[in-house]
Amino acid sequence: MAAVAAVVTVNPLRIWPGAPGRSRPQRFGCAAGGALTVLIAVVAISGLSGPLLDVLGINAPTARIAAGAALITVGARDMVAGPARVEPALPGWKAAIVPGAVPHLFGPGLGVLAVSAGADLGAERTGAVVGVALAVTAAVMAQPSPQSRTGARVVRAGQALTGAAAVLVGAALAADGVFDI
Amino acid sequence: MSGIRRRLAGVAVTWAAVLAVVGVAVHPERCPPAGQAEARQAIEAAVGWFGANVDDQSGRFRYGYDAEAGTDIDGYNDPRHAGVLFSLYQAEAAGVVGAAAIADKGLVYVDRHTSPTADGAGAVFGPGRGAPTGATALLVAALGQRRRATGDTSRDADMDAYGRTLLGTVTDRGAVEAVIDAADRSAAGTRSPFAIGQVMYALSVLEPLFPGRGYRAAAQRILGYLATERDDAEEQFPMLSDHWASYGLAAMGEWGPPPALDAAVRTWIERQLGLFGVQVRYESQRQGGITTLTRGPVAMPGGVGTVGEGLGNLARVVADRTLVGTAASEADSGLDADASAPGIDVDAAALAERMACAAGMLIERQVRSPDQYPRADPAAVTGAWFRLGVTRMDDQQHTLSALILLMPHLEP
Repeated sequence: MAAVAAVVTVNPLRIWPGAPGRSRPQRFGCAAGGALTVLIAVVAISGLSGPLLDVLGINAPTARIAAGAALITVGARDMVAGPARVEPALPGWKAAIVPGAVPHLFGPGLGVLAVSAGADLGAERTGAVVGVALAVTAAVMAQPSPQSRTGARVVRAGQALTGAAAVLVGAALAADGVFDI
Repeated sequence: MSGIRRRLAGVAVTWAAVLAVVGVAVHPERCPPAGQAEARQAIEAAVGWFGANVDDQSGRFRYGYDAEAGTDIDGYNDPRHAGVLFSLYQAEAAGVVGAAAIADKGLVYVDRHTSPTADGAGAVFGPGRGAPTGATALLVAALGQRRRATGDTSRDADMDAYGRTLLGTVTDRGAVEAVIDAADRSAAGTRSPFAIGQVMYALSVLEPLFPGRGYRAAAQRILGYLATERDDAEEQFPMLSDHWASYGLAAMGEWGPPPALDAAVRTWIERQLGLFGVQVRYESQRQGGITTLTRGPVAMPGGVGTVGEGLGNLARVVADRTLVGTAASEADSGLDADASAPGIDVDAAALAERMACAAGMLIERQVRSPDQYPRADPAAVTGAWFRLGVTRMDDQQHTLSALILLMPHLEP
């Protein structure tokens, strides 16, 4: 469930058209570097989720509701908004950070999900499942995005479907948080 | 670089928007600290409220009170009267000396409002025609607590008579008629969300006192129906948190032998725990200020009390390995006892947290000083719980019962 939630909140098809890098090696470097950066951030956040939730006065089931709400919001956006555009990038390898990691890979959905998953699964398992999601996303980002009108439409439709999946997964997460003790 | 700055500003806006939605969905939860000593004080103050608000002649308690206006609120009803007696005898059984004496004053009202059934074999608490089943059921529960607290068996025959009437309200499927007609013992087709749990509890109390009279099978039939059919058959949506059924389940642990609870019942218990748990979490997010807009004012004290009762009872059920952790099939069971009962899937630490939180909120919200409502009768407010300036006797009943059940789970 957490791996699926991570994939749909990152939404590889939404960020694919905006992935930085002109050549395949450049794209791969940015995608891999961005994914690694985000993975480190997610592990750090999930590792700190216990103290963070204590400070906020929120327990694990309620954090799941929060993650569900974030996924629903992000998923709804992905259903109606256009794909990511080619972003202004930092020079050289730093493009993996901006826009590779932020804003493409690491958004509020993944951030809140990392906190919730950290409380439920621990940092190691959260890192593992989010790592899988980031690897899938990086593999997509490393490919040249479709340039044809039809190809772009297919990707756009895929983005919307993934957004719809995020809404459903978010609702399931929220329901799980509600009905947990 | 300015393009990057603008983009990052856009990212910040996106984060803020999503976090705003999350902030509406969940709020910080505040659970006041609660220890056994504080719970004990609150329990004694609540018993004191009943002692100060019972009429010796009629046996009635003060039903409701508007502390802002300084006026009484009428609407007296029999199920709530029986519920109050139940909580007071419960308090006596928990060691609050004098609580049973206060409740015994309320038996005057009971004796004046009890009718025999037409065949003379049963009895109904309430008007002869159209009495709510819950009143008789809760009276049995109260008398059961009385017997436990005082050892007095003088009302055993009454309990059995009420029990015979209650048996007539249970259908073959395990549904419960919500209204009793003393002439024919039941009114077909009436249902109530809570009467079913109340009757299950009453029959569970009666079973060890009067074995072999059919109480066991009827109680189990009700439990099976509750767990598998009720919500669909009675169009109960959303699912109800049933504190009275939780009392029934806990009482079944005292049967000899206890029933083996099948997978459907265990799943139902897990869902009940979730329902009680989320209510505690939601209530603890109500902290005044802006949360009044997003969460509303605090819940009725009686409502929070029922949540505490449910958690306290189910904590006992979860810990009762003979109920949830054994494998035994019973010939008289209406349940499909399976061969491997793995227990209840619940996070024990989270359950303990919710119980402490519920107790903490209840203790904090009790009126300890009449100065809080200067225009009110001090006897009507001290030891009571109010919502928007109004209290009803079942607010004290459920909060009292909840604190009694939760106290053993609090820090000494």
